[in-house]
Amino acid sequence: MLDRSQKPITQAVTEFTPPSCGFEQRNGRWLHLGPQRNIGLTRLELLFPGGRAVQNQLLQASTCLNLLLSGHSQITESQLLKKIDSWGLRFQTEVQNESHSLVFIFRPEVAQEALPFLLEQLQLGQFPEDRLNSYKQIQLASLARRQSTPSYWANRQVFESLYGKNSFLGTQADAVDFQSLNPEPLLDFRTQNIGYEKARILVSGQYDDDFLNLVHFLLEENIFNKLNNNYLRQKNTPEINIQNPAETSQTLPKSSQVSLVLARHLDNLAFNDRIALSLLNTVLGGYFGSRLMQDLRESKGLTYGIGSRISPALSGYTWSISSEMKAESKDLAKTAIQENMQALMKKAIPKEELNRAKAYFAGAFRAQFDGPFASAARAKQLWVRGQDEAELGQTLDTLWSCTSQTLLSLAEQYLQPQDYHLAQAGAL
Amino acid sequence: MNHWTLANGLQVYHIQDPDSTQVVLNLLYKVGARDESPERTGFAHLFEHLMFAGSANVPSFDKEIEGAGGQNNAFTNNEFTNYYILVPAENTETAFWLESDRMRGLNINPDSLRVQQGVVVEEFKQRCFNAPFGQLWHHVRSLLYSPESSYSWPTIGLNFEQIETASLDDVRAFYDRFYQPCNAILSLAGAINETEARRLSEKWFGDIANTQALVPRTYNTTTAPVQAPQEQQDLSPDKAVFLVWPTPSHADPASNSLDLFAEILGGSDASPLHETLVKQEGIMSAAECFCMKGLGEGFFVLYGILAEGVSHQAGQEALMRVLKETIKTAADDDLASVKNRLLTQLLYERISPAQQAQKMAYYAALEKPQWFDQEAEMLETVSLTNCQRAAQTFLKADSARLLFYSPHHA
Repeated sequence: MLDRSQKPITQAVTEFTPPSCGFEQRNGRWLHLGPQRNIGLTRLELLFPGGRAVQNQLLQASTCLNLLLSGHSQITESQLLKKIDSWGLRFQTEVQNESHSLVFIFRPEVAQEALPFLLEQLQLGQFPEDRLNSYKQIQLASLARRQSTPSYWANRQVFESLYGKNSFLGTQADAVDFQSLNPEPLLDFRTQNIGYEKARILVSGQYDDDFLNLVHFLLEENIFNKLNNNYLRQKNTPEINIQNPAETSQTLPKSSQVSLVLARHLDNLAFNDRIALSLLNTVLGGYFGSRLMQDLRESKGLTYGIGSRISPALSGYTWSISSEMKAESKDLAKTAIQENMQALMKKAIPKEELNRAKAYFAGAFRAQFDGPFASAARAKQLWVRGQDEAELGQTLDTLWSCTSQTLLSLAEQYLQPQDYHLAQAGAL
Repeated sequence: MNHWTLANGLQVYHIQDPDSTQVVLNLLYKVGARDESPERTGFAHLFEHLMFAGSANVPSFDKEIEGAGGQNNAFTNNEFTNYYILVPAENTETAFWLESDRMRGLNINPDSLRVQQGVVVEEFKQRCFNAPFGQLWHHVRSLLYSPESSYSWPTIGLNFEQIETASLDDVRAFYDRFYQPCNAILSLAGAINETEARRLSEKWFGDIANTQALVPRTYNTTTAPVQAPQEQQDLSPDKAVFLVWPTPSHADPASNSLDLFAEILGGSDASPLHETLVKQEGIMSAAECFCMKGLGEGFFVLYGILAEGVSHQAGQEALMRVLKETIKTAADDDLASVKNRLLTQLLYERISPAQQAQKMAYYAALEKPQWFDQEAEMLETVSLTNCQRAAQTFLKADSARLLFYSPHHA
């Protein structure tokens, strides 16, 4: 029998040179070219500044992008979608706080036929009333279903409490916002914010120079110059007004559990602090071996899942902790979460635990660059967040140089339970 | 794809991805909810949780994986339980060490059982009581199968009381019976070559003995008779109608034909279901269908979420109308579009070593491992006539099981 008491030697991921995740200028265009791989698929993304930050009313950006192929007098949405299906092409749109994208994934052999057609049609849709009404009906039903869950209300309340109900980050769309949508603001958003001439282009997967020339020709020299889409707005970042910490709760009589969310805002962080706080978040609730997961789930069996995350919030970040549990356990869970936060403020993280979190972080960091489309995702993220590509190459060194003392002082600064907004919803 | 079998019966499948920096070790055990007794439903899934409680030489499974820079998880369904580990290539051996140690050296103890019972009960509540249509699989399976069939309950279990009362004896017996090399399939993908895959699989799994002869299992797949519509109340604020039919298992060629028919009927926003019932008539806010393909079962689900004022009866009739019309009017162009969409999807899935590893193991469990390399060809061989004939045979109006959902407050 093999002696399994001898564990294999493990090597931490300490060194890694990330692939290029920047943009280069070609023919006056900013391009990100991912590694060329013969995978039978090409991915093309057109990335624009703007996103929700430049919309004049709630849902304007997402509705505009979702209905770009809503058709016009010459062709219906249904006919358009059938054509896209016939090429086996995947078309997706993405809207973030300060950017939006059009993403095309397709087999290279259909590019010559599909792209000219699609890129033109994306600028011609008229958002017809009947199509818009059908879209509203679908979205309203979907919203109503989300609103039947405790996690929706706890998350909504914590953001409203943290950023204010009427602010950019705190406002949540309601049924009335869907009902008030009409074609004019959608046309306006497209005209102002989806002009191809200023799109950043991200290409990855299987492609060659011919494909790049085709894209350049389509966006620069061909039919699209005739379209009136050259008025890109200045980036207009809304202000963030942090509210005083508060507790909110909402009873949902049909629920069998309580959803608990704690959150606070983090101002824009320098690179070193960003890495250190991400590591601190890993220790707190960022992976299965985290303190919250081990304590509340694996030791106490209070919940199926608990986690913490740091997510972008305009120039800063939101640090949140969320979980769901039976009503009788909610106070126990709340106390346990706060005790875990306080423990990180009072006592330095033991070396073994810190090294494990670093090893996990480093492995996950490198894994993010696996796959033919990975560098495009990172290039987009860097550009949207205004971060320096060189930081990627410094991430592992910075991570491994983080000390327990650094994390202890960051915990004292950022993990004070009284600084967190708390929302609970469900079977209270 | 490479394949070999160890002397203890463990089947191994391998594919290398030279561009990856990670290795995926996927271990599928041929045991799922269909192997449970009616008094212990949900047990296979509970056991999956216990597999993370540590083993003879590994006090904490997750800590070792995470310390090696990796990640892991698992899922259970009615027919198998699938564990997977992703590690940086330099720590491949750690994944073999961990997965082989818990194959026969699991630390079964009352504390981990008690804690995981609590965790799974909360999972049960979160999935079944706190989400719209959270008990769909309870309802669908009870409509499809006779109560004697072990396919008649969902993976999560009939109720959480059965999970709460599971004993250590149950756990030991289950482990000894099902967690052994001859009942498992190991698949490896990513940054590992065949020589290394052979060496490590032999080194770490080759010496694990089977604990007992595997008794061939047969499953009662008797379907339930068609009855009056089952009416249920749900958290969802809207009424909904589900029509469900039993269909052949994945190994049967008709299963692929039905899968493609489902794509024609409801696979995109340009498909007849969405186009007719959501966009044109506005009587539903969603209208979709899918074909579930399993090792020993299959079923087809057609459903609509109803707009305000639309009755269940009207919804049912509308769904059947579009289904019948599509069988009649589907054209070769529709099938060609579906094939192109699915081909793109297949290529997309091939990018991920984790997906490759899971697919290899699944096809091996289906006893059709060669299908892993034949997916695109198989897609091409399905004709429109195949699709229409399969739909006409299996999706008859009088054999549909009906499920009507209404909001709690109705």
